[in-house]
Amino acid sequence: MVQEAEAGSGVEQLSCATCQQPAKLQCPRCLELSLEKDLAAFCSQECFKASWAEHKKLHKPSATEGWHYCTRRGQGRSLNMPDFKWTGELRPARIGPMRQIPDHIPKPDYYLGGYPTAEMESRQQHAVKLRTERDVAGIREACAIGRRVLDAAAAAVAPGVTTDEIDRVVGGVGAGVGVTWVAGGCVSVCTSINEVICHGIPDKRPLQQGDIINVDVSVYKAGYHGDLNETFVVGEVDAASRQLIRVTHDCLHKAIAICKPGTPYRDIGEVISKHAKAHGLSVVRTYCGHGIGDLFHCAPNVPHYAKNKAKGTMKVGEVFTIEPMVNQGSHRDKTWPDGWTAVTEDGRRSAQFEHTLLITPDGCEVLTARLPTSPPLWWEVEEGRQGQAQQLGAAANGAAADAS
Amino acid sequence: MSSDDEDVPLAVPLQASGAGKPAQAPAPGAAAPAAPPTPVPVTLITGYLGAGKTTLVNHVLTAKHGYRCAVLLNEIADSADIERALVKEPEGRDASPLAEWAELENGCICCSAKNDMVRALEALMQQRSRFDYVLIETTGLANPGPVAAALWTDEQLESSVCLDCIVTVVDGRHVERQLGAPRPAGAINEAQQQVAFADVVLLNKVDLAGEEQLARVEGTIRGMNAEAAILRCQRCEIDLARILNTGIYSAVMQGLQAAGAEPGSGHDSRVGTVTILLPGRPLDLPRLRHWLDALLWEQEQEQEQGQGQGQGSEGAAAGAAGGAAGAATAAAAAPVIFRIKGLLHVEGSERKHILQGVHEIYDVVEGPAWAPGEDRRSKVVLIGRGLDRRALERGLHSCLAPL
Repeated sequence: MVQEAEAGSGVEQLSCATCQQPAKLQCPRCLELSLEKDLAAFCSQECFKASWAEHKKLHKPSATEGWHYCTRRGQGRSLNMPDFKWTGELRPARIGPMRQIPDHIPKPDYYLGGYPTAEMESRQQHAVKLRTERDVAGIREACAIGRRVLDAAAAAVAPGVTTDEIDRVVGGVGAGVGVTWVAGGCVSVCTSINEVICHGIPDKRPLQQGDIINVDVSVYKAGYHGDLNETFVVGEVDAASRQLIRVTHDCLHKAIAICKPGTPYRDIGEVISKHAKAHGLSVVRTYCGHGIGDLFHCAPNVPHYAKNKAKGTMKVGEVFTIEPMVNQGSHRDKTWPDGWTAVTEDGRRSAQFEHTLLITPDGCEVLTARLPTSPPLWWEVEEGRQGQAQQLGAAANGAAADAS
Repeated sequence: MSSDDEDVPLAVPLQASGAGKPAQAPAPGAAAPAAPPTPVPVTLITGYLGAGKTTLVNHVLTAKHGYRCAVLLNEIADSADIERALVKEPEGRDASPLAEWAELENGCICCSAKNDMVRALEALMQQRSRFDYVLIETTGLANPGPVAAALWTDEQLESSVCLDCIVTVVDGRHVERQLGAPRPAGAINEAQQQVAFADVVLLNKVDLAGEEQLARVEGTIRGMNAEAAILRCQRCEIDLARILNTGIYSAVMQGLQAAGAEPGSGHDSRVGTVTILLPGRPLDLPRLRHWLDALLWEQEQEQEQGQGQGQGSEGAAAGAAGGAAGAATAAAAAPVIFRIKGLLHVEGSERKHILQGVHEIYDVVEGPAWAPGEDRRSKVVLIGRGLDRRALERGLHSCLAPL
């Protein structure tokens, strides 16, 4: 005990996995494999021996026990970090088992295997569906849940917090394709840090000062989907990253501004690319916005890059996402060995913002809009401080005026 | 139990975390990444059963042309269930099956900008060092439009594959009958549709048809698709440069074949070509795009609704007018555009603009500059069914920049 205290900062007070008394020892095999300490700590050799039959299962990669590296889009696990020509400094950390969802919660068909059968077979892949009032009500509800979940995630972001913890806080399960349940709906959370463009899997890595993190929330409630994401700063972040986030946010909002009946979908990419380019940033081309409703992804396809041949002009009742990913350097992406996480090819940072929109007779409605209660984005914090400073200044002047 | 006891190693003291983490080599400084190579051209081969598609494929596979070809034989072309893949090696050996095709990873299905077939092809391109050509033979696919459009990837996507040529093989003996075969009201004649989409028509088995018949057939085909190059051949033995890496869908300037007006093509259900020559004034490009959007996409919306989605008044009316018959009539009446090609004089530009369209996807790109003194007139060629020449002319005229 005394020895541990002297060992320095960062040593958690771990409990014995068998009897929950303070732990002093750890499994040497877990140490060798760099597996998670909280499952490897014991108070004594006797407790270790007692748990051995179960414990040793952790030494083999498993989707249901322990923490391992993700492979094959969440369908596989590996004991060791896979080999890869990592493009930046970020590395995958271990992920946990998928958490159970109660039976009574309706789940989308892709929830276990990641394969969206209904999407693949649907005609909606070709024709954009005009949503009925009932559809819109369902989608709106899913989007409202998504907004609450994203706001809860934003509030949880802080240095030292792991993305897995953020996932738990909002009720997610991480593990790639995994979902959990919130407000009677299934929620899936992706956490994308720094050079990760999208599809980052919540894992054991603690957020660091200076990181930027995108949290992407997808909801499935009562047969309808909602989808949104925002990029946040972790503590103090450099100016270039702040600029990246702000420009990306503005790209999305400039695109939203042109959404109304009759606007061709191909114009969205023109607006986004123009704004990003004006700030020396590039736009990811591989991933695009999409129709959303009873299916997670359906027509229309909404590219974020210029000079695209996207089909369709917006019509009242169409629902789709716009989700630009903007990079500091090259627009090109690579996929990690987990088969899921997309990173910039040059390791420089990427930011993203997403909303789900409904086209209305006058323009569009942002179904995932921010609320007055939504935690402020970084520049809103600055503006808040400036506002307060002005108020304080005015109050001080007022007090001084009163005093004289 | 006791064997488990023996397995248990000796627990070691708990240390601060970070002690055993494997050191990862830092990423090498990213040099400016090289631009991706130009995409591998994809030739799509269609045609009736027995016309000679397989013969053409075999000709490509066995001819000693020194190129690496991937040939895909496809039951239903618009899924990634490619039936069989064969790879042709440069040394002219027999083609070998590409066993790994079935193992190709799907990648992220959800919000990818590319469809399944394109991604499957890209995975194929990655597996071997480099292919020079890809041929896709679409057995039983009456409508090559959607597949062709999907293969016509946006240049910005830097895909390793891109549509290059649509080839329709026809049987010199039988094609006349096939093209003329009647169909129930509103239904399309598949042979006509295949010819309509073609960039190149291989008029095959010429040894089995008389000269008079062949001349007639060529006339019939030209009447339907005035832009396609028609190559007469036996056993599909042609100069492969006519169908491989042609550059038809690149921004390279393509001369338009069709002459000026032709007599009354296509206000019935037959496939035909309408060629429109505009007066020498420039076009307002945004207006033209707006008109093309409506032309290509609104008609499809109406057809979809007529076939039973039941949304909107047109759909309801068509549905009420007697179910299938009503829908078919509505479908027959609505014009369908298969291909569009154009050479455009655009307001505010010193360059020619090239219009290309396949199925419902089109693009207008800048081409070379107009030569000094060159007659700047726009010409648009539309290949489709039930085309109303007057309406199309009016439409295009309305896109001219105001004086």
